[in-house]
Amino acid sequence: MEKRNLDTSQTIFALVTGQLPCAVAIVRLSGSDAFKISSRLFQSQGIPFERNRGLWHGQLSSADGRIIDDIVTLGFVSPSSFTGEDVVELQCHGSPAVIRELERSLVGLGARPAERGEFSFRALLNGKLSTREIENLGDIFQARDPRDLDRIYDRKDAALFDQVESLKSRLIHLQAIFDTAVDFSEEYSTVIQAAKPVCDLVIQTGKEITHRYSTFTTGSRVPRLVLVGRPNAGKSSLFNALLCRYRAIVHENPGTTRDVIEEDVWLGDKLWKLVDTAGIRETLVETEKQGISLGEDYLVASSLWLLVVDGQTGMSEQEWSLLDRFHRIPHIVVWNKTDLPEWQAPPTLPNEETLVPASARTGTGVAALWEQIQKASDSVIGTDGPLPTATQNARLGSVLSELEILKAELEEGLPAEFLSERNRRLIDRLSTVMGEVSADDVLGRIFTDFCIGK
Amino acid sequence: MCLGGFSPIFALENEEMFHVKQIDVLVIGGGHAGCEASLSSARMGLTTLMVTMDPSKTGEMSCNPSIGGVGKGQLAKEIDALGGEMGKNADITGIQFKRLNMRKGSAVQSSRCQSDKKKYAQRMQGIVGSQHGLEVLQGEVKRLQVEAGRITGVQVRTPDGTTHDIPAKTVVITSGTFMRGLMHTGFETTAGGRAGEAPSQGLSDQLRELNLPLLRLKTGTPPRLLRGSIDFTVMQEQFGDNPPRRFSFSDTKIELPQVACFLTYTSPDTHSVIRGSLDRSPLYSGKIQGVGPRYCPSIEDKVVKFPEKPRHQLFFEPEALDSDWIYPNGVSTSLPADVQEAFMKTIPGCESVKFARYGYAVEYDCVDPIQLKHSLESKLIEGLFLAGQVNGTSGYEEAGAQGLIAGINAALKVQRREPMILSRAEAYIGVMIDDLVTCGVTEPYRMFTSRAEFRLSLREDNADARLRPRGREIGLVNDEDFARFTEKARALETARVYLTKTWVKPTSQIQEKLATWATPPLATSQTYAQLLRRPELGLEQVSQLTSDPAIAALDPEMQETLEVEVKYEGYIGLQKEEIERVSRMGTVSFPESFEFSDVKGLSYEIREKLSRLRPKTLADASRLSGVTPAALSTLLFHLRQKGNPSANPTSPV
Repeated sequence: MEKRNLDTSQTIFALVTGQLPCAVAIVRLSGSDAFKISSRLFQSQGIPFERNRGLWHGQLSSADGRIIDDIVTLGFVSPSSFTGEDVVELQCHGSPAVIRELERSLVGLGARPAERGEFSFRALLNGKLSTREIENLGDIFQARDPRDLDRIYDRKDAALFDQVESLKSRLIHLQAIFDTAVDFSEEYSTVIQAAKPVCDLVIQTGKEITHRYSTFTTGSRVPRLVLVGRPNAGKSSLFNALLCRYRAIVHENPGTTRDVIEEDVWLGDKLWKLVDTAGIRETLVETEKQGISLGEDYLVASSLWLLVVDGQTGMSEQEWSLLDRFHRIPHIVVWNKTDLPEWQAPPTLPNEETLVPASARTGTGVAALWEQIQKASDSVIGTDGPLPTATQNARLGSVLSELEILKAELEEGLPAEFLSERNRRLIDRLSTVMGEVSADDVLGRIFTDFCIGK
Repeated sequence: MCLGGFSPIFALENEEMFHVKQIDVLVIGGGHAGCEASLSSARMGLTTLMVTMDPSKTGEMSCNPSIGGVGKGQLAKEIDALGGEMGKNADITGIQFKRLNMRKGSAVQSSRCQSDKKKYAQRMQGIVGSQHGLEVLQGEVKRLQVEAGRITGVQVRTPDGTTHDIPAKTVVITSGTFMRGLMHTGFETTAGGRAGEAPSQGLSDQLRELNLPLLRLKTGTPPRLLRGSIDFTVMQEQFGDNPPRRFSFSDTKIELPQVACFLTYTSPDTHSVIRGSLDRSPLYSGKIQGVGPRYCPSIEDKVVKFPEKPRHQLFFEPEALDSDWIYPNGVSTSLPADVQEAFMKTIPGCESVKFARYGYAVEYDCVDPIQLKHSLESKLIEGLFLAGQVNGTSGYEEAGAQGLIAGINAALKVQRREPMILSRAEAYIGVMIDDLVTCGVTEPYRMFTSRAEFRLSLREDNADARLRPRGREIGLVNDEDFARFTEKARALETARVYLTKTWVKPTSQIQEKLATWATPPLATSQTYAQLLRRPELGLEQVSQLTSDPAIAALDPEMQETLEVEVKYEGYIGLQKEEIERVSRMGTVSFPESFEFSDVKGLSYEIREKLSRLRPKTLADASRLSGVTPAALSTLLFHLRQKGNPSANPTSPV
């Protein structure tokens, strides 16, 4: 980690609003000289500008006295401010030239550009924010889905605690298996056999928790609706038909990869990500050979998938195989191309899947399909668990990666006394997942995870 | 000093001698704990008296005729390394030796032997009887004499019915299962601590009066069968290791003939007989109230608790070379005699079995060891030590180890020296005593390797490296034994340096040899140690690549030590770090004024527990159940904030 200057005796500043140019840009100063420094650059037309809580309108000048902008200034007096120190916010026009001149002048007057997260750090030191609030703040910045706001503010440690405790009790079970194997050596091989399923279970359920956090931070917690099907089944037409109806509220996603096409779609009050795997159909055909292909990765991560079947040719072995392997993830079968003469009635499906006859080309049945999607989405959203904080997530993540090592050693046949050794440490570390966040944690990681005020 | 028959050994007719020659250490009981306690104290040069109800039962194996086992073998070796008697006695009277956990690459191996139980007790009696400074008195201790919180002696009733006050500077109680012992066979009960022997009455009442917390525990023993009535041909013959491995680090010899044990199983018929008679089981009718060990269940327990198991394993073990008695290991029971006969007859090979003695359960009083210091001295009564089954443990090795420590510490106390306390990182003995005195017991305590968090470091093979110097320091290891130890340590170190510092070059000769062991060829030069860390290779192979005498000079046991330490250096290293971390935590102490209830970030339960038990150091706190590493960090953080000098910035947590 780069060494950072966190000297709290200095007054710091940063542009706290977004990309320039823009309508308004705010530069915030915090520190004992915040008012003194800004008074050199700002003159109010009416009320004298002094160390006081309040709002002034006036002119911003450069260090050499040239007027550069007409601005509004906000003053906060210690301890009643975000950082607990004196804070001045200069609300300028969002001009790159103005801001550049202002920053240069501030440095000239002895202020220092803030390090990443330094305002929050001062807030922490001055008791204005707790480590938990800071972690929450970091997550608020990343939240994309309005529902995530509730998940962050209502973080229930108790619910997550129960989940981590249940992981812990499984690790204790694992410990019992290893120790029994050593202490009752005549039954070694029988006893040790029980270890792998337990190990797998812990990894799987642990990953569900960390997955929750990573899907939250990448925005992919937005449920994914994935379209799969053979070439020419009509996926792309259906994709367009689904979007077309809601064109007005579709946002283009800059992260679109060249393999898949993704679009954000609001459906009622829920944001969905619609994924067309058309671009990866070649790999999809080869799934059986490849084991897990890119297409399957998307399928695995989907909240709901649509199997698009060409109603003229019906189901092939590949479709049956997909239904068989991914039947646990909610899905709908679209029996496409009702508008064509060769369209045949669908067969009976094995798991009583919802089947919607439709024509992507004419739009017949698309409304009915949306209804089914909406119905399915209610159950999809309900499965979300408590959201860990960044610290909890990182701690759990490191436990899980060591558990993978343990699993590999188990498969290698390492004697149980060594497995037990690693597992015992894992149990200790798992107990720290829900523990207090110390100042060291905060300094070391949280502030580099997000950036406030810079 | 001589021990002959039932005659009073100690010259009681001359009562004045007690005043002339005051007893330094008085040991109550002559079992495995009592023997080690008496011998260690006498060998340290103190005037020692063993008071026992029946000197002919000194060193008796009340239950199974064997020493060692997983976790227990480690204890026996540690007793030996410190200068105790158990390992030597086991070697000299052993009739089958076996090492357990011999799977490839295993670092936790334990020794076990079958003993000739008659010879075991006889030899122990001989050692006790010939020990300079140790005398034996037959009698029952009726009262402890306590003045102002300090032990001053005991009151003994001798077989002639007279009572005598014997002053003593320290007293070690090793009364086993004899305090208010009550034996059960079916609904028949007999007062006593062991078949045919009277209980000790009154002592536990007095301990209760002295505010020592008492518990009632239960243990059991199987019936004994007559050899001639058993058909061994239908059983599986089990031999020991050849050559047998000794327990002792001294120069003992295994000279008795080695014999076999026999493996057989219970049958579904056995289980149905037992199930049909549970209404006559004192255990299941609620008659027995003492808590029994979960890990050593009676056969009725096994049948009830594991109904899915079609059969249970039994080992038929000879009790002694010249005895007709067979010990059927695995059928401890307190069912009535007729039920015992009925179910035994359903076991293959036992169709016409004859009983030498019926199995029984025994309930007894013990003292909750939570009232003891780590030295095994009572916190309540100065100079009073307790050791063995009376502290709620089970097993000869557990008892012997405590007896040794109590004897040593009683002696050290008389000598006005600091007590010897073994840490959890040093010995299984340390783990056991720490468990006992910090957690107390709720069921008979037995050693398991899993109780030792540092078990990769606490191995049988290095018990001498860990404890010989401690034994030497207190005066229990003689010159000859200590010279043997230092020589061994030197040879091991030479070989270790050789392995880690010598490079193997990828010559065609070496590569060919590696190919025959189905291990990849060398890409570049490597040290022997690096090569040895390959899972598929052992020291046996690696040593073939060199003609250097360093490894050849080691005996097979030392080679094992070397192999384990080099091969698993990474794991052992991690454990060493952990040990250091814990020992640093031991240096972080809570000030007298520290308010645990003020520590934010700890749960209410933990704060309450800490306030109540007031651990002295962070290490003490870490051993309390529920005190997590996170809680320790929080405590440390709090201590640092308070400016505690011992909570320095090199984080111990």
